[in-house]
Amino acid sequence: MLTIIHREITEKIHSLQFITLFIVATALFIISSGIFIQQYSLRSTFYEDGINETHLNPSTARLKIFQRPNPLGFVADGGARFEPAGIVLTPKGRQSALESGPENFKLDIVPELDWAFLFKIIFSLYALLLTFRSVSGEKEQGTLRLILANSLSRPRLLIAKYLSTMILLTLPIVTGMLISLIYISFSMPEILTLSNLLRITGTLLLTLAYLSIFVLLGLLASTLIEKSSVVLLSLLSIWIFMVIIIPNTSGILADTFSPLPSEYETSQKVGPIIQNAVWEKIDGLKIRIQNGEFQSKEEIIKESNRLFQEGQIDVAKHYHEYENAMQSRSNLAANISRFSPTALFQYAAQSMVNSGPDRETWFRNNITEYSETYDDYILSKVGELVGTSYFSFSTSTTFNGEHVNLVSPEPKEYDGNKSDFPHFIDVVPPFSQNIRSAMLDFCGILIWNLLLASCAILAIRRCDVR
Amino acid sequence: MLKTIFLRELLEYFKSTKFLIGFCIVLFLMSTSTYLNMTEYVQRHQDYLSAVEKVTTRGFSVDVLREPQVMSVLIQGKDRKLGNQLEINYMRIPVETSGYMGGFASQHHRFLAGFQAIDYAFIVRVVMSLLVIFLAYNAICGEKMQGTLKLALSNALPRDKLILGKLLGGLAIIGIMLISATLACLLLLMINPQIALQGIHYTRLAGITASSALYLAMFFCMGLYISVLVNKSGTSLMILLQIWVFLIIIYPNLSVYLAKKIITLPGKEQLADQKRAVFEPYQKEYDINRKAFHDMIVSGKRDKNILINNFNITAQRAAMNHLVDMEYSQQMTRQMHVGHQLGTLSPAVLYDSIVQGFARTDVSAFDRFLKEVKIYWDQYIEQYKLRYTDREAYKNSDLPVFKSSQQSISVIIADSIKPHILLLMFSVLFFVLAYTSFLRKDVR
Amino acid sequence: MLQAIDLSKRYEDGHLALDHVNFEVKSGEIFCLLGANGAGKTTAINLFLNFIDPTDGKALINEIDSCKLPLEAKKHVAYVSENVMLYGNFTARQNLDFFAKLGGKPNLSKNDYYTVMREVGLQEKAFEAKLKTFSKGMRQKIGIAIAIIKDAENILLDEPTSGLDPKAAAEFQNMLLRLKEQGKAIFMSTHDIFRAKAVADRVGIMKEGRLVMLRTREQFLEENLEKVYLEYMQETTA
Repeated sequence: MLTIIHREITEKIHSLQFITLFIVATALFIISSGIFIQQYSLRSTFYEDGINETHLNPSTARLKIFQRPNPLGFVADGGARFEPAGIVLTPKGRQSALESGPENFKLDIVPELDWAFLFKIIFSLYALLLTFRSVSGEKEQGTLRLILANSLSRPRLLIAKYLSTMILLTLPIVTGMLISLIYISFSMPEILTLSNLLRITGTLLLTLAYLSIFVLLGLLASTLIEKSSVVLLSLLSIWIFMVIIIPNTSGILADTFSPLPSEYETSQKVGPIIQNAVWEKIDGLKIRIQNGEFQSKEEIIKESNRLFQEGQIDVAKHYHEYENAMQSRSNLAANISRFSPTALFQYAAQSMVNSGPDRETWFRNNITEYSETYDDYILSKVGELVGTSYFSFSTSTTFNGEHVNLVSPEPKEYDGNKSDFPHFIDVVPPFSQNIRSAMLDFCGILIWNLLLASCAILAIRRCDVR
Repeated sequence: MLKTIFLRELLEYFKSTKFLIGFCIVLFLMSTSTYLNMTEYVQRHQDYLSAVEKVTTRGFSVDVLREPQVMSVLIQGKDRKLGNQLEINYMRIPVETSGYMGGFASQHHRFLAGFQAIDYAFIVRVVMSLLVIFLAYNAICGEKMQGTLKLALSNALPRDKLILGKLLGGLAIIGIMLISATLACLLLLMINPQIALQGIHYTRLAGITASSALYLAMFFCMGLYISVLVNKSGTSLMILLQIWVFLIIIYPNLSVYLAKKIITLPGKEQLADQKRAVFEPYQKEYDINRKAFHDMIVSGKRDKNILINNFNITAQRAAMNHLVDMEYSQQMTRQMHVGHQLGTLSPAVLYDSIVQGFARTDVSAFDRFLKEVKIYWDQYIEQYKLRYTDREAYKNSDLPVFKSSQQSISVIIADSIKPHILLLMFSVLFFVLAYTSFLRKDVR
Repeated sequence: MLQAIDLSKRYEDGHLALDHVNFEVKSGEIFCLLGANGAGKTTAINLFLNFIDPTDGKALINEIDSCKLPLEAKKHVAYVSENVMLYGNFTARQNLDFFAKLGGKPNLSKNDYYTVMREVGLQEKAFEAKLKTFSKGMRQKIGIAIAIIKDAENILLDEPTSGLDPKAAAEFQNMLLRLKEQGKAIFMSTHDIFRAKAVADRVGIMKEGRLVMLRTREQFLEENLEKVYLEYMQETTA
């Protein structure tokens, strides 16, 4: 068997195909690192500036909490550019997106050129190109009969071919990863921590498991189909579906199949809710003023503020429901795309390096926890908690012939010494937690492997070698 | 002679497995994606219509709505991404749309933002280009391996006729695939009662089909060239796939990064500084008027003059801010254009910009919308002013209706001439290369 | 009539494949060129078909220089190659039809093709079968049918019998004799000395690009052709 592995490797390592693979892969790794370093430094500057500003002057009305850019973004970016740069926290735990740095929404959407992209698209294609001729090609050349004329079982031949291709794929991957790491660590030496290296090793294992699917697929198709060109055509069709079509259609499929009201329909409900929850209360207040229930102007304003805040709860709930619906729709999209091993790989890789939606959820959950501390601080300094609303209002009435403006209340800024302000600390989830969330996707990849491996072995046993 | 070769080529394609498989995949993808996109479009359009109906009621702000383009079913471009609603008032003319929910809530679309749209343009750009490569890669070297090339050339057959026949055969098959795929999409659009196609849309669709044909022809010529250049079919396919990956997947990506590097956009703070600087001469007046207005509100005593002055200076500020914002918006467009220019060598980038132009789903359609919004804002402000000067007239007048102009097809064609010429040049270049190297090729 | 006059070919790598070769094949004559692999037999055929240009000398087909007027010259020659694959997705008739049209016979009917296929001894059921199902011998028959249907005055055959079974080879031999009777000038390169002996009017032996021996039928029937051939070959190795 070693003889076969050796022959396969020596044959392919000198082939034009492998050499171009090696060169192209290395070049792409270098380009991707270069791009990452630049983007990371931009994001870091933005982050540092923001953090400094917040530390100098923390707000009790509108606190900007910036999210630290992911130093492992070069492995799997996870759509960082679609995420907000951080969260604006206002009293009573309301979170809204922080405007990020300049981002041109008119530019063409192109996928991020990170490691995950290289593995899931470029290397998976190469895995197919390296295997599609392995059985059918030998059949065409007549060498398959020659090999099998020796005392070598067919599954062993297949395993030898599998192992040699995996070794061939590992070479450029490991080389590229090392070059990338060295390049990046020149400008960012801080990434070389044990935990980060563990995460990267995890990604390497994940990548090999993922690419193994394509190697097995190539071997399977190559055994099943007689002509090499038809093998390649079928493999490329499958590749297009797995790698490009399924992951990209899942969004629109989720849109179509999750029976959610559209954004417009949801937005139309906001008006009536505000009408019910806020205006009617305020109108009621005006009647109560006429009925002489209030003694002073202050009392009226206090009551109006209370009613307004009470009414806001319904509005907030509505927005929250919409947000959850969008979230569940995007989860549905993710689950639909999990039919494709490419999506499984993408999500697992994101978990490995702590990026993507999970990272944002973790960040926002931490802020939710922190908001209690924040509220306590405001209570202790300002004395009252005023939540910000989804809309503001302004009306007026008369009290005892005097003009009274009723406006939505705003949280107050504390002017005193804020050196004891409890700042938010952005912590990275422990690796074990990330591994746990990657586990399911990783198992999916393993199942694909097992399935294809058994099919391939079955196929070569039954293969007609004449 | 030419006819004989041409007919044989066609027959060969029709009989080959690769064509049949490819054709079925293309038809399947085209019809399912069109169906899905159509459902999505109908919803978006319905929302737009309901929103427009609501706009007649006048408040402090008025919503300007951008109509979703019918052709976005086939070529989504940036139609969905750029949003539909823009809220204007006398204090603000934004240059970015907000979703119907406004702000952060609308941003939740970002969960789905990373997905590329699977539409007609995508299928032509990615799937069909790959299929065309599959049809072309062994055009010459395959025949050489079979021995039929020698046999054919042992006759009084000029070589140029042979390669010309191959080209024509390939173009015909591309045409057949493309036209049947387009007709399938068109049929789906036509049988849907909620979609009304007009004459102009057919013209646009014809333009899109023609450009797609040109784009695919380029890949065919490239395949032909490589198949003349190398002797083994396997090598030819390998080279073509590498080129394909580079041109379709990697290069467009890099051009966007480079564009970001070449044109740097000013930050939000710089923008605010600019706005401040431009408004500087009027700032004092503005502050005074704002204060007077504020005092008036607190006191509850209506003063017509204060209202008018405040309105005028605020509207002026909005208009001036808008100028700065528009400049920024133009800068964004420039960055995108630079990206396209850098991507000129990639047919995928050229193709996208052409068909998005035809479908009106490109950025220039959006920029035109922004200009129209400003014109509308001027009308709106004129009328809003009546509120303070002539309340009676204001009450009797209707809210001006926002109209977006249809861009004539000739302008679109004129805009797309350059990328068309480039695509044509690439095709011709590859064919000439294929032609000349075939004339000199060692056919033994 | 086929004529090689001082025909020479030196490849770019300096290898002299053909060294001033002279021969002539008259109509109604079969000329067999014998020689080991790489002796220059196929090069000669390639020169006649203008697949390559001669370094020196001329290859004439019906006195037309195939280098100067290749298209004109190729009108008068049919070619049968060693082991042609043809178009696998096409039927025998479709292949024949295509090459007939290329050979300047655009108006042939189905029956004409069938007649020719019967003539070369192809079974009826194979007429409308796809070529990729054919055995080597059947493909070779189609190759000859293509040459016959072109009805050119000259025929070039490159190792036509290699890999054929004895029955097919015997049929092929009869075919050649019939073509000869029709007055064709037939040039055949072959390793098969027995076949050459059976059909050839003249034989030539090539060695390292030179025509080292020419014998008429009378001459080689008198002496032992196998022996002569082997003697020449041994000189090579010596």
